[in-house]
Amino acid sequence: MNVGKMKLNFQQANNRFEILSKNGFALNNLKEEDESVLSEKIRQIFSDLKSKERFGYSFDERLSCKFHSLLKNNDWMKPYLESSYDFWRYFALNIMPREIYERFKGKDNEEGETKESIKSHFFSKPVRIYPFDLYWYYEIMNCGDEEKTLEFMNNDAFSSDTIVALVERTGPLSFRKDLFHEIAVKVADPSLKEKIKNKFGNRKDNFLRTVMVENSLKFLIYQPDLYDGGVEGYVSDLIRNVLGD
Amino acid sequence: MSNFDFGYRTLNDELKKKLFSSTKAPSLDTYFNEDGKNVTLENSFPDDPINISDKNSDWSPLTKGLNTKLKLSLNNLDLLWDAQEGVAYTDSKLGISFTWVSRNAKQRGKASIMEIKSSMEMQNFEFPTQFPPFVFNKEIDFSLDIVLLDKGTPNREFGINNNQGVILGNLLNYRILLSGNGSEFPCVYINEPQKPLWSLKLGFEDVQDQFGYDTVCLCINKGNNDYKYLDKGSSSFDSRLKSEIMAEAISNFVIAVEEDALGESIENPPEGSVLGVERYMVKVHQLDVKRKETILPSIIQSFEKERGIAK
Repeated sequence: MNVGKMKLNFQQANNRFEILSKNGFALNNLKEEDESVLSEKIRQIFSDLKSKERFGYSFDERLSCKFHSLLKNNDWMKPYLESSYDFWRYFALNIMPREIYERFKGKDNEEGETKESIKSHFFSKPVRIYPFDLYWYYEIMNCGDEEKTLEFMNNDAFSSDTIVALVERTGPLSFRKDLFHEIAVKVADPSLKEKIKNKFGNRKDNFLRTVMVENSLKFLIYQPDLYDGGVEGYVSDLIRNVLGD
Repeated sequence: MSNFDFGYRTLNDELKKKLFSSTKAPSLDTYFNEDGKNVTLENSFPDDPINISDKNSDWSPLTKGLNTKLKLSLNNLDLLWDAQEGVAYTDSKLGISFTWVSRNAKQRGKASIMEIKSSMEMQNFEFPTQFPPFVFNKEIDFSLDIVLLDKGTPNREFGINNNQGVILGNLLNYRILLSGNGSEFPCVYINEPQKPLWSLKLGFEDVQDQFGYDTVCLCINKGNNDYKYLDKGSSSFDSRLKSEIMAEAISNFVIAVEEDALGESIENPPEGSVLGVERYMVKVHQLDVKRKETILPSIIQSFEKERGIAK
């Protein structure tokens, strides 16, 4: 895989998007054979999942696991690519444009996302590029292997908003995977269900969002590694503050 | 931190000045490891941001990684516990936390901690980091903060934050720029006896492609008999040869890009693109691209000027 060429800057991505959108996001023959093979594998994973799941969180979590495993097991998937927006733009617009369009266009009988919003899943908002989100959601939720991770992701404390909160709203402080993972673990703790319901009612997504905001403030003042109880103690206190214990 | 009132005592500018008084200025070592040996890289510390360069132009953070070591001396650290101006209770334990964050790579390192002693004597600290190849490019921010490692016994009424892990002030921040300014070529080593000592591979299809290993790459052949002149560990090492190769490579690159871009009037080439880097080189070496025959001599002259040997 010639990853050095798999890059699109914003302008190049915009041009590519316009061409694809006129074409119904159909993928013409790719120049590179290994890109075609990768694209076909993603197509198959996507189609298999689509036959079993409706588009939504459950679909995304499953795709996230398969997608991450497909990419991570390659020598060419170097760490620096994981956060290269140029790479993910290329990936979205050259390897899996049909799938992204299908995922966000909406069904025939319902209104899908606007063109501008769809653009964000391809290139215009870096942290919203669909393959980027799928990849990083797994990185944060990773419990060691695909099976355990999927089981963890499958917790009913999580939803599409979890992906947004953990991957898209990392803020200017950047993030630490271990800290965000610990936040996800604590948010999914079944013993907190009642308290979360009492405080947030049916808007359980607001709980994680509030914890993330609280973390952004606390992180300015504390060094989580040194906190009483380490990262776990730090996150427990975040949760306690939010739930008002 | 000093711009924000946290409601408790933090390291203020006055106290910070006392900690740094009569000490050696902080310094930064930058190097990479090649064949088990540490190869020193020059850096512009304490510039902001810090640029890193390799005299021989064959280093890249992506292929070679980067090791750094910050050296810091502090005086009068006992003042941090002082009842009048200190930031912690007398029996608490304080430390320096050293952290890095690569915002573009969405990574933040775990803090490494050095305990500090309550003493008037000067204390020396070293903070090493190792970034392996293919992990980061662009930039990394480093931060040194005074942190509370262990709570103390409260003996004053207010003004002290006695919570374990609290950051009590910033000592030093610096940013290292890893991608450099585009003045160097990506470089790889090959081992192909019978092949030339060096070659320049140009793989871009469009001058607006990203500048990088797959679009522009200088290949140095370790299998060629003349490699000994480029090998820093060899007694035959000749730094002029490397410089001549680099000058010729830049000249070939500039000519190729100019030919490729012929007829295109791109005023602001994308940042990091092949054309962007070529424009930079044209500017830095003051090249007249319309007179091809002058390009190589101009680059050689520019290099000599840099080394202080130009006429």
